[in-house]
Formats: sequence, C-alpha cells, structure tokens
Amino acid sequence: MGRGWTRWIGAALAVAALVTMLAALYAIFFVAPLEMTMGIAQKIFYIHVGSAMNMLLAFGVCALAGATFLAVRAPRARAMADAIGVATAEVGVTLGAIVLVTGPLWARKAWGTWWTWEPRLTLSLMVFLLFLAYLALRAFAGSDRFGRGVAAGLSIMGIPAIYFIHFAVERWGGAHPQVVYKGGLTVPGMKLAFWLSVLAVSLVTAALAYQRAVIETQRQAIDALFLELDRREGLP
Amino acid sequence: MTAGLRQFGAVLAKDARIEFRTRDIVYTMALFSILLVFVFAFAFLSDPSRTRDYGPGIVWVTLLFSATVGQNRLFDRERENGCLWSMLLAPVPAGVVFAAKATGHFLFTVAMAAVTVALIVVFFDLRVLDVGGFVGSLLLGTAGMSLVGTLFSAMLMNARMKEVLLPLVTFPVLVPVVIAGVKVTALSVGAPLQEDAGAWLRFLLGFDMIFGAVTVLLFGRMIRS
Amino acid sequence: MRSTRSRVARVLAGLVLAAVASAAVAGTALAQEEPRDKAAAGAWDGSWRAGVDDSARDVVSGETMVVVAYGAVWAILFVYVLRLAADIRGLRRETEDLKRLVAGQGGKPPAS
Repeated sequence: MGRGWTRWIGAALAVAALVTMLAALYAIFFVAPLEMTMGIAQKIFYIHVGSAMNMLLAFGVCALAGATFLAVRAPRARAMADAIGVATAEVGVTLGAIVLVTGPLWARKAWGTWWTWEPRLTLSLMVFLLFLAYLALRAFAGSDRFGRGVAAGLSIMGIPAIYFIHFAVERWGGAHPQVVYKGGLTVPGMKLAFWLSVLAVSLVTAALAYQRAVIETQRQAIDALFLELDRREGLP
Repeated sequence: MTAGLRQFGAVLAKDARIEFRTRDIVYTMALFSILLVFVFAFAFLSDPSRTRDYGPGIVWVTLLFSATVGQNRLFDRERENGCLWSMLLAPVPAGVVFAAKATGHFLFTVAMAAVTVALIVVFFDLRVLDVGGFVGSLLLGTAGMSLVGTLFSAMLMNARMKEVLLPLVTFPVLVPVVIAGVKVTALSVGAPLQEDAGAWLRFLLGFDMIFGAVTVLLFGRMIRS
Repeated sequence: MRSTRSRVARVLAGLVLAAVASAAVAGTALAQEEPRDKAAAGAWDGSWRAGVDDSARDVVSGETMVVVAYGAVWAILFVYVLRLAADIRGLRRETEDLKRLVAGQGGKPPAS
C-alpha cells in the first residue's frame, strides 16, 4: 500500500522503536540499580513516566491538529490535520491505558493504595476520558465533516487540562512524585535507563501514530474515490 | 456594538418568550432534578448524622445532570425546519447567537436550581454560613456548564444518539467545575476542609472566562465546518 | 458606503477578538493564582493522604507488580498493533471493491 517512501519511513520507525525498546528493557532490568526504599517496584517508573510524557505530547499535537482543522480552509491541509488528529488521539489513548495500568501497580507498592484523588492523577484521568470522548464522537456522530469539526473542537478543550497537568500541578503540590523536574535520578545507571525508556516510548509513539495517520490518509483517498465513482456512474 | 447587543437581546427574548409560554425546559429540568434529589435522599439518608457531608456533592450532581437534560432540549426548536441555519444565515455574528443561547440556558438552569437547591438545603439539613460563597459558586459553576453544554448541544443537534453523546463529551470538560464547586459549597456550609474558598471561586471565574472565550470563538468555526 | 461599513465591521470584529483574547489570558492568570496562594500549604484538598496506607505497602509483592505492569504494556501495544493490521486489511478489501467497480463499470455489486 501507498507510495514507496511512506512504507520505508513506517518500517524504519517500527524497527528503531523495537530495537530501542529492547535496549531500554535491558537497561531497566540489568543496568539500573535496585532502588533502596521501593525495591523492584520502582522499575515500573521508567516506562510509566515515558508513556505519560508521550501521552501528553500526543494529546497536545491532537489539539493543535484540531485547531488547524478548524482554522484552515484548504481541503488538503484539513484532511491532513484530520488524519494527524485521529492518529495522535488513538495513540494517546493507548499510552493513557498504559499509564493508568502501570501507575496503580506502582502506587500499590509505594503508597499502599491503588489510587488516590490527587491532582495529577485526577487531571490525567480527565484528559484520558476527554480524548476517549473525542474518539467516541468520531465513531458515533457520523464520519462526515461535521462530526470531525465537533471532535476537533473538543480536542482543543484538552489544552487547559494538559497545561495544568504539566506545569501548574508542580506548584499545587500533591502526592505524585516529581522525580525528573526536582532533580532526582542521580545514579548514572538509572539516568541511562530512564532516558532510554523515554526515547523508546517516543519512537513507539511515533511509529504507531505515523502508521495510523497513513491508514487514515488512505481511507480518505478511498472514500473520495468511491464518492467520485458514485457521482459519475451512480453506485449499484 | 449596539447592533450586537440588540441581536443578542432579540434571540434571548425569543427564547424567553417561548419558554415562558410553554415552560418546556424549566419544567422538565425542575421535575427531573426534584426526582433526583428524592432518589438521593433514599440513597444517602441511612445515617442521619452524616447527611450534611453529602449535601454539597448532591447539589452539584443534581445541577450537572439537570443542566444536561436541559441542554438536550435547548436546540429542539432550532432543529425543526432548519431554524438554526436560517438564524446563522441572517447577518448576525455566530458568536452573538451562541452567547444568547448560552445565556438563555444559564437563566433556565438558575431558575430550576433555585427550587432544587432549596429542597436539598431542607432535606439534607444544610446550614449555609457563607451565603456569598454558596450562591457565587452555584452561579459561576452553572455559567461554566451552560457555556460548554450549549456549544456541544448545538453541535450535536442532528447527531444520532445525541442524548448519550452530550454528557459523554461535556462531563470530562466539566470535571474541574464540579471539583471546585463542591469545595466552595462544602466550605460555605461549614465543612472542615483546609481550603481557601476565595481561591476556588477565582478558579471558577477563571474557568468561565477561558471557556467563555474558547466557546464563543469555536462556535462559528465548528458550526460551519 | 458599503466599504466603510465593512471596514467598521472589521475593526469592531478585531476589537471583539482582542477583548475575547484578553479575557482568555486574564482567565488563565486568575486560574493560575490558585497554586501561588496554596503553594505553601501544598494541598489539593488536604485529604488525599487519607488513601495512603503505609501498612498495606509491604504486604504486596513488588515482583508481581513489575511482571503484571510490563505484561500489560506489551498486551496493550500488541492489541493496538493488531487493530492497525485489521485496519490495513479493511483498506485492502475496500481497494479491491473499488477496482472491481471501476473495471465492471457498475456491473457486479461490492462484496460487502
């Protein structure tokens, strides 16, 4: 399917993602030392934080794509923004599922509870639900341009939430550790494992989002061809 | 500018007159919310000494659900005969139409809430110590709900399953309003929270201003897409 | 006459836009003030600690948590990749339908 270079980029991203992921796993379990107070459960942290960062990034890109979709008039740019929007929303929700599964597993060991209504947790769950609603809107409100415009508007409403999770919560306090910004991670082995994990999850995100955007673009092309055929011949 | 105000007044007066003659939205919302309070009373009154703890939460859940019921009906008349399209074809800025509809919904919800909240205060034995905070949080919170709800109820007017989709879309956006609203309401009835009611009220005001700007800007864009 | 009116309208629209934008900025600033006031107290509602249970944390096994967590990560990614593969298969099928339609010129109906 598709032009040659699209395929090559997709394959290259996938291979890079897989290789870095394996390297990251090696670093997490064989290079990084065991954390003293939390023990082995701390090893969840590497993939959890990497996924959370990329989730916010994906949702942010989705919101920007939504804004572009509503602001721009050129059909090609709109179609592209739409494809990027749905791709990043789906990948972001997938990453969100990872964050919301790994987080409680870590918290059960570190805090002794699965969940607490602490600001960062609450807001993360909120944006996750918001982008689930985005996908539901696209699925049920019709695949026409109108439903996409509504979904794009909804994604823009995620921007304040993303902003608050990322910046304001730091000053708000709460139970959630802020290892990276507060300058934890002093042990070199841990640093290596952490940044490798972030890179690995980023590549996985890029590979999946790219593939999804390509699929969406091709679906748009096929839909356009069906419509054109219908206009000329009248479908049976 | 004055033209905008006149148009705003015309759309709002039209909605108010229809509502005053039929009482569709306020009646259904009020009846629904009263029944909701009735159900909550039986869900939570097992321990009479703690009814006051549940009061603020029930106020906000009732408000949120009833506002959503009202939003489902808000554009019913505009849907028939494509009235909304005619309204937007008229030389009236889309933002003005939106502001008028949202204000209408806000007024209807406040009318409904006046009855319901009084009922909750009686049933759940709430002692309102800080009337300003209590009323202020309800007004600011309702304004936020009206802005977000009106935008999406206009957008989903013709959608399949809009009754389900509307809360699905608005609730995640409105979570901060409920969090802040419950806190201020709880503080105003004397709940022992280590919180600053003024800060949460400012947060609500900030939410209303941000979403007021965002929804007014988005309405025209989204409806024409 | 027409052009001056439209210019006035444009200026008015710009003013409204500026007012709306400044409202958004002011709103952000207002919402921001909250953390500054509360930073010293460092509390969201002061009650989240109620959930933290120090005695419960040593009962569970960290190994189990790690295994389940990484298992879930792979499972979630695998499911999503499967979904993408299904999407691609669906696109191939639609392309075939389209080809048949174009070749038959409205002859045979599509398979689905």
